[in-house]
Amino acid sequence: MSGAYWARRLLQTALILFIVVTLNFFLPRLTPGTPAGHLYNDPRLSPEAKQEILAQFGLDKPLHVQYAVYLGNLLRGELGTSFSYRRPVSEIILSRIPWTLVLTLSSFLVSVALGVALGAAAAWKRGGHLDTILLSASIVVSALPSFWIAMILTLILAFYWPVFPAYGMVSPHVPVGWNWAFIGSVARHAFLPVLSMCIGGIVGYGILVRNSMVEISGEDFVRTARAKGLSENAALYRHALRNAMLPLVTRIGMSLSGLVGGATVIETIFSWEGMGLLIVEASRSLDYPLMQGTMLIMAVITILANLCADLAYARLDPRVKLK
Amino acid sequence: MEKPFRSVVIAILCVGLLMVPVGAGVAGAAKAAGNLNLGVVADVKNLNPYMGYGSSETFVIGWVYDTLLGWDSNEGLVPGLADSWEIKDGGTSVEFKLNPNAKWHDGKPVTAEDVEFSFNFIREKRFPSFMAIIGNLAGAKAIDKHTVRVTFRSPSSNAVRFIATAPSILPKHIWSKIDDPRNYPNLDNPIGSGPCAVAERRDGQFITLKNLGNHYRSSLNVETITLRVLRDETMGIMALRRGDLDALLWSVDPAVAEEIDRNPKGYPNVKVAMAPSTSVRTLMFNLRRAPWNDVALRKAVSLAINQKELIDQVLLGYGSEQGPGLVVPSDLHYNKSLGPVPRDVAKAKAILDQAGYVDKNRDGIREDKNGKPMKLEILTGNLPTSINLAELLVYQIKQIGIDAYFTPLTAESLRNKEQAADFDAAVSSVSFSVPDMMFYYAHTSRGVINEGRVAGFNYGGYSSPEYDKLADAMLVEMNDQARIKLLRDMQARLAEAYYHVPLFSSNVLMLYRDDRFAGWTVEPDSCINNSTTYSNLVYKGGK
Repeated sequence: MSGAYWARRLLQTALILFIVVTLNFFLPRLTPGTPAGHLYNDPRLSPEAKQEILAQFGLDKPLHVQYAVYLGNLLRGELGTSFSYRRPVSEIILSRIPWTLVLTLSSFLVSVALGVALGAAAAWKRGGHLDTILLSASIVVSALPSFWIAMILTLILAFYWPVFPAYGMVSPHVPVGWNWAFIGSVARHAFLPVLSMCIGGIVGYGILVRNSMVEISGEDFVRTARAKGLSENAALYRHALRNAMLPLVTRIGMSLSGLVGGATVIETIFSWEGMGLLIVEASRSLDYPLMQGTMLIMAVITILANLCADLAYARLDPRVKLK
Repeated sequence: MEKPFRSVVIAILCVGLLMVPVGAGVAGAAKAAGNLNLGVVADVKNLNPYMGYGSSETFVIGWVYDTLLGWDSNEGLVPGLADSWEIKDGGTSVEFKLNPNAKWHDGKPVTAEDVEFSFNFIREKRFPSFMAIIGNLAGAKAIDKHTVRVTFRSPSSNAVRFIATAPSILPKHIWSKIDDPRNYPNLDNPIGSGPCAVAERRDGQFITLKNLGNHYRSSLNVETITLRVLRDETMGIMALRRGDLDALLWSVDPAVAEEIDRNPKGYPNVKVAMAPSTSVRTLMFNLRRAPWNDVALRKAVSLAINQKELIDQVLLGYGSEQGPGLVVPSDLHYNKSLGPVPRDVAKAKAILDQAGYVDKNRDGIREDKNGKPMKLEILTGNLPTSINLAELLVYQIKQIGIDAYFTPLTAESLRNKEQAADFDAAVSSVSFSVPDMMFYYAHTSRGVINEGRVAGFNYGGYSSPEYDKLADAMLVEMNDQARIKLLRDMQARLAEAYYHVPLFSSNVLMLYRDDRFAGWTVEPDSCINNSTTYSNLVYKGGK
């Protein structure tokens, strides 16, 4: 990796970021409707009063002036004040990210770990019981939307057999902090949403790894590894799996932005106050600063995740040179 | 104060005095029992009484803070923080006498200075939710410790109701120290003078209100009220069925109500509460466009409409037929002589024939006076229920020989078309629960087009000098009875214009459980979510 490579990547990143920031500003404003419409559409308001309301939200100035103000605030690290929460956007986003990560990171880690293990094992014994189960599961799961899985799991595990809470993030009266009561309560509340997200994830990663492994296991170097007398596990994990990881790394890179973006549908069903719900809420109420803030964070993470995926590619595949 | 108004005030005060012992008896903390759990879909983001607009926020603010007066759909204005009030100077000022027992949650007494501060604060800080009255609010002045006078630039009956019932009264000793009140969410330990204080809150999860049991007027009978935020309505219904919640504070879909009514064993202890709403679905005509500016034509269309069929098909029966005055029967201002008009296709056809809209070429579609086939485009929303409604309307109107068809639009596109007066007819809705809206929806001045946009909500351009005269008088009439008469006369004018043809009024449908609490009381529009319910609720036991 040369200095020129880094300079080019940085330039590219800056350009993409600028485009994202610009789209971020203009797209919410293209959405039909007026922010704080419930205030603005009061029939009793005089035109002057309407103008004053717009001014209070900073929307009375020409669009290019608003854009300049927005860019200036961003350069100072300010994401603005939410129209609906009347709090700094950064404060709201920071309060939501940990909750989202509880769901997305746990389901991501479980999905990748189990998916890779199952996919590799299924491919290694192609046509075996595990392979058949994984293939059948992939057909069934891909036909079932995540909200349906979530609803069925909730019906079974929260209503008919009430083992887990059906909604919320923590029980009332449990003191917030690093204590076992709190951690246990969050874990119990997170179980059903995480499980709902994992089912699709495990099968998805499993099929990806399985297909990649099937392709790799016919290659000469795998045959050579076996011919050298390496154990099946060593041939599987040290040779075949490492080479089958490349598509997985790409997929993981793409999934990273989703970790912070949250899982809107699952968060809605389980009333889990994460980033996904926040994005929906911001869009519904046309809360421009909140829409801009959430989308910007997502975009930055996507850009960084792609960069990480490129770097990981170079580490995993010696044929890839970053120039 | 004029005589009829004074007698109403005296009567209300007498009723209030008679009720005091009853209220005092149940208000004590010793008698309040049970923890009420209510499901809501909206989070509490802001407890600033002048900046919190969401349904959950206004619910909490309503329990934590007091307003000067309350509003009762039967009685009108009723005492709140103020025991009595008197309109003076021809309606340009109102003097309020505060209850001397009112206290802030931190123990300090509520005084006229707090009220003076609150109104002047609204005026100076220009909170957007009060922008409609700020222009007319001249100021407030404490006369003595418990008397305050609020003055207006011009007399307005709405202004009196609005300033007395909408803005919460704030403690001066706290809010005078807030530098930027518009961006102050007030989420940490809000201090009010209402019956409850916030005991616990978690962002997006729940908020628990504790009944302090020492309020001078409240008869709240439960120990705590917890609002649980459920973003998914299906999950809310499941939680209610499981017994996690005592009621849901949103109106459920008619299909849900029908399922519970049909299969009560599947939902043990869950009941459907049904209340008439104040909102009326209408078919609004654009009176600027020919031939729809012909009242005979609009009358014929109104006679072609079968409200019962619409209610049965679109609302699964959970609605009521409405009269052409557009004010619902549960409203204090309802004109009883304007009941629903039954469908009469033969009469509608006769009216059209007489007015010269005849099907000369016998193709089933009448021709207008220029010989063109009569077409009627109906704009409607793009939600399934709106489309279902429009399909039925088209079917009914076609039966009198008018080639009706509908165009579904997004809510924003529909509003744009209405504001640009670019429509023949549109499925609309009106709510006159705040009577002044009769001015804003139909006064000539509110239908004037400026720079291509209709100035107010009179999108169809209804214009009647008689109606305008009544509406102008109504706005400044301070005598309750005289005002009610004006409002009823306005309904009669609207009815004979067939400007908004009523289609139906949907019911508010709420779900509750009757195993832990008894005393749920249904009232128009608010359904079970009203002060009578919270006073009547009696804890029956259970976890």
